[in-house]
Amino acid sequence: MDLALRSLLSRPTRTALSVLGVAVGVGCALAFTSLARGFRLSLDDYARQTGADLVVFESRAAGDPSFGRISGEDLAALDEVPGVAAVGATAALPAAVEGRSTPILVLGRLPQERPIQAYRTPGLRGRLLQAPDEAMVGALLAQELGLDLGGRLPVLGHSLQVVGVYRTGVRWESGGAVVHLDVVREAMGLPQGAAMMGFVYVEPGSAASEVAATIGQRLPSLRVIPADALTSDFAQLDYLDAFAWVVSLGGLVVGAIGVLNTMFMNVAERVREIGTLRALGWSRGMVMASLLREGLALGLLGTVLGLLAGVGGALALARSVPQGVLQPAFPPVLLLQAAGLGLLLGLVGALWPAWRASRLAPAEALRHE
Amino acid sequence: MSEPVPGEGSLREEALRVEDLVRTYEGGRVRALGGVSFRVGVGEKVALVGPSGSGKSTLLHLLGALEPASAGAVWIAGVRLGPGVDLDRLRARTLGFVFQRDNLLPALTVAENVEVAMRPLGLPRAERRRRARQVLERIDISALAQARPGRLSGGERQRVAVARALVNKPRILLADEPTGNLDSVTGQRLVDLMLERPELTVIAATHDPEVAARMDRVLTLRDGRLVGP
Repeated sequence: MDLALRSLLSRPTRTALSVLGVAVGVGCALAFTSLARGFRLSLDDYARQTGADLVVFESRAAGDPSFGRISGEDLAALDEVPGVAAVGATAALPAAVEGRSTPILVLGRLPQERPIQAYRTPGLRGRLLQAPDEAMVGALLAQELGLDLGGRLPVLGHSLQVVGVYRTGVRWESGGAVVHLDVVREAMGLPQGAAMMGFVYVEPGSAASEVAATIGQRLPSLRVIPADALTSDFAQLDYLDAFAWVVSLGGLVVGAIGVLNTMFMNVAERVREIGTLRALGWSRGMVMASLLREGLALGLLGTVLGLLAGVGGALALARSVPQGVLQPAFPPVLLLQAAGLGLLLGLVGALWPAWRASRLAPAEALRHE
Repeated sequence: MSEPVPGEGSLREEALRVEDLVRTYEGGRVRALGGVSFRVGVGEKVALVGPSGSGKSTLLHLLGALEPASAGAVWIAGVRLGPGVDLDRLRARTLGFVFQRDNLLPALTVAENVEVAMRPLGLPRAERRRRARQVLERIDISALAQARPGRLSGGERQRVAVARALVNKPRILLADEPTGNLDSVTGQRLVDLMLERPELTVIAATHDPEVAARMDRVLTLRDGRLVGP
């Protein structure tokens, strides 16, 4: 077995603690970023499900479209833009529901517009809503509240009749409800005809990018983005990503310090051993490589443990949030990033001690007591 | 002014040569070696004796290219030590070291401790294993190949250290008080091993008169200077 591994195994407690440090760093980074990534992906899925090509919202609301307001006039003007086949208005807000301690997300749709067709899936029971006194509830919410077709959803000051139970690929959407847009407008104080966001459907044969450019020219108060890139315009999601990394950074620093400390102690205890290796003809590079392998081994073990802990932690955290608002996503690139980070921690933590060890004068090292 | 060169005029081919070797520490305030010169022929066995602090270990370190000389010159197998010489390669291929303390790596097995010396040679692992097994058999310690040094007696550990020093078939063996921690019988058996190969040049620093008596020649150091055979 390699000298590096043997050295680590000969100090099991120290090695285990160091591995744990790396695992905490990698686990935190993976858990938090996977949740942030998952939330972002779910928003993109939400927009994609509508089948729209473009999403429009108020330019002033850059950073968080949910604060935007689009007037009825602008929505009507959108319909007149060449290449636009249809426009759908929407608004959403969190709302309290009797029998539930946390609010649900209520989405407003108009029965005659295309976005509501997104709920016409094989999983739909009942029908799509048609009137302001009706509601569709997500399957998760229905299950939690014991609601079924014909039941009543007490929300936003109304008691709405449940006419449909839907299931979509977005968990937080399945944990919410869809009501008539007028009900949401009333709750939000939006004027008749206004909306928070608009979905634009482009005519077959028209280029979405050209239509977007025309909208930008004609209606400068609106911001237009491709529906599949909805989250790219949410600055708040960038803050969420940044927060996830900042929190993770703490864990990563702890991991790196753990490796650094372990490697310094390992080197300090093995000065004479290093002198012996140099006397046997080991070059500085060989000594350094051996110690870097120790750091890498710590990083590798910590990474494996950290990946498991990160996935487990993220799933546990997601389960603790009602209705699956937080669903972690583990794309391969994220797992690779986390693994690379763990290995880097081991390598970086070992670099300085390894360099110092390689600079030890052989004779002095041999005299070391 | 340097001392006369003991051994000069030997008919043997030269294994190493030292000329006016000086080693000082602390900016010259401490003089560990003060102008030492001698030659050793190939296969010659030389005892280095003298009181503690006389400079024996320092001289061995300089001969082993483990630290640089402050002045003077060392030739090992015809190569003058200095800039441009690959000292790691020299230590791995030409020199063997035995220390007073065995300096075995506690995390490795006996066989792995021997293998560790072959790593700089870039030999494949299977070849390293084969050679380690061979040398351990030769010194009659192969039964302990998989044991950790901590389970071995002092004598056994020192035999492993000799095996490690000899496994690369060095031309010169440098030993610093190799029997210092051993009883007389074990010490003599260890010396047997060190003297086994006639072509191997041995320089052994020792306090033990019995060890010195078994060498071809004795060099005596006092206060960093050779005071004669």
